[in-house]
Amino acid sequence: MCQVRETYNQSRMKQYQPERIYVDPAVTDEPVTQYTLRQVPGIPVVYFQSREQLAELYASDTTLTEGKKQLVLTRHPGKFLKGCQGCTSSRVHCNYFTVTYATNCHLECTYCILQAYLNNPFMRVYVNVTDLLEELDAVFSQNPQGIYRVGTGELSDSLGLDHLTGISRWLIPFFGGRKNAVLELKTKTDNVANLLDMPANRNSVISWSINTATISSREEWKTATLEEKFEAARRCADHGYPLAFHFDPLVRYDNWEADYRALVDSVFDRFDPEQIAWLSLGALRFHKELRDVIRWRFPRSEILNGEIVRGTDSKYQYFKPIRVEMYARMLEWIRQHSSSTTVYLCMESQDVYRNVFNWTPSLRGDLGKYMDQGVLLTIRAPHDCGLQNVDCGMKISKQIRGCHCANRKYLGVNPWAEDRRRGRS
Amino acid sequence: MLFHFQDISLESILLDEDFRISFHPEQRGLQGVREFGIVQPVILFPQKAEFLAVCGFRRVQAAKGAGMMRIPALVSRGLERKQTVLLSLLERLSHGPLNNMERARSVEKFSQNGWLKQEIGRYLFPLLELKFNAMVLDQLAALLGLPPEVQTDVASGEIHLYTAHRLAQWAPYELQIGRWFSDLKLGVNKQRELLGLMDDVARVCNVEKASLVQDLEEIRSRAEPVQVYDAWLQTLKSRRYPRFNEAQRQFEENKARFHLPGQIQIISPPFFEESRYKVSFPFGSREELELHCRKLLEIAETPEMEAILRLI
Repeated sequence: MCQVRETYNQSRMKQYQPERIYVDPAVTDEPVTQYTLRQVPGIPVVYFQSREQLAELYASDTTLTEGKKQLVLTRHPGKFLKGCQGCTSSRVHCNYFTVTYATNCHLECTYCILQAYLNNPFMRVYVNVTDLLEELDAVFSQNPQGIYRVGTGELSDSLGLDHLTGISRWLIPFFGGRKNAVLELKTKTDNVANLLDMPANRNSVISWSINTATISSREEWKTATLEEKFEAARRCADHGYPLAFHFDPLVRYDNWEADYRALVDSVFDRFDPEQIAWLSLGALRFHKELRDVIRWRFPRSEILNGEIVRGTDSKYQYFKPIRVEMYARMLEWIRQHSSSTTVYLCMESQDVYRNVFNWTPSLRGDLGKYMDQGVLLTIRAPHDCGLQNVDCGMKISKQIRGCHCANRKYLGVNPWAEDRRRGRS
Repeated sequence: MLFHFQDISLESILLDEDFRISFHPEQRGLQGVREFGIVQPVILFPQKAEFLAVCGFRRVQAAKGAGMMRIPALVSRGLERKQTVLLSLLERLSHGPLNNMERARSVEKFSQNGWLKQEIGRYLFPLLELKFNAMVLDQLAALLGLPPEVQTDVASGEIHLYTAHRLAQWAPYELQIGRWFSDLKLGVNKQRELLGLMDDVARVCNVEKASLVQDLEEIRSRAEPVQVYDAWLQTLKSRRYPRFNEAQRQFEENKARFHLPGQIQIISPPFFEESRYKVSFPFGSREELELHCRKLLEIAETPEMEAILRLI
């Protein structure tokens, strides 16, 4: 069994505690507001009398570091559900949806895009969850044939504030049992107490962004340690949630191969492939603006040290052969453990897909379909993948993954067969 | 009355720069003081039995130079230091927009005269026409530590705020690098690109700053002025992007072996990120078109083309 190197502080991750809470007058009576305020007795609470006061707060000169210590409970004025904005037109889109019920993150990862993206520095939670659920219900009901993979970790950590807001207690039961929607709660914390305090369902995938101990200790200042993440994942899996892991960002450094291999091994040492709904790979990428922010906020960070060049859509990323090499190696190590686990690349080009998987998905469509079908298998019971006329021909030894390969035949896409032909698994 | 008008002895005016915002890149004296005297009164802040200049530093200096004994002045009454520094800024702004050294001085003087950081953000930064954030504050503060000659180039606009901030990290070579930029008349983007690459090469490749500056100086001494920037870029990029540099070298080498006419251009995608090369050539007749196409077909099956295609 591979040992995970742990060079950083082994103490348990500290849960987020704000130094002050601001309450938008529009949400004073919201259940999530009341719940949140009950969790933080003794923390100063400022009840605004008007939204103008809130606007003044946002316009203040509070620094990002100070802003993160202050929590704003407010209302989301528009639609919660949006198509993932991460992919530009030159990247392969996976038809992922995002719901933003919070913005900003206290975990202080040096490479975090939010440092250069958000227009105010505060931790902000949109507490009008009933509006959110009504909106989602309407969308999912209007298009029962569609598949909705919905993530909440785009502008915040999905579980970073969950001990305060308890929003997972609303979302997870809501998604449970739905035929066409899956929720992904993506986190770098071990903040899973609420998840374990309610019945699990297969529509709620709990996922972790994980990285090597070297990167975690150097570039992810306040996240849970790898062991803490694995321990939380183990408890979620035992409780009945499907898991996912995101090897993201992959960072190139002197000992990257040994470290990332150990990381992959450590995932499969701890979890059966059947427990893992999907894995993603994403090499370090960022906008130009972020580069300056990283240099200013984290002058000793080494995250920018690789051979990083400007991509087609102005994002900065590793020179293409380097990315391909990293992805290919990761895929090889993953396939040594599991030939069927769904693996995808986050925000990558068709070229890179072709070089890594020997499969060129369309920019919009193929990858989404492939992921959606995987999702159906995740949320439905065994023998109920919906492909009644397809004989998968696989011996069903464990739940969920039983007829996975048949699904890929049905899709006409089987990139992993190409992997095998190329001797990668 | 906030001000009292009186003739003040020049001996009692201190030239301490507690309130001085103005920074003139050209150190010329004022004209006409000797002929006409001080036409516009200076503004002074009383300090015990003496006075601090608020507005009119150059007038005071010129009057001293002209051997005058007394000059007309408006002496503030009851103004606090906090208000006085604001007055100094507003007076300076009445003569036109500030240069970056003056912006940096404004922040420094406001801070020294009792303005809180939040107040500086709220009231001063709109006057400076800058977006307030901690990064810009740091950048401005860094300017004040630059050598005077570089500060002059910053004030005259030859060195941009962002570049100057980065230059400050290159002590003790700020002056040398700043002079390169000024002498070669490099635009802001070129300055930024060079400094960014220099920072990267020093940090990523563990190259000593002194050694890197020396290498660049050698290139500068050898190359024609118009070629210096490109030569620097090539040197820095080859160190910063070794794999890309190697790909570029292979591309150029193989392309050269095609012996294509100068009119036919094969262009690689930026950083070989996209999966297509571009070919361009002009033609004005069917014969010319056929000629170029035949030439391209000839090279299509060569090992050199195979090598080039492998790069993408």
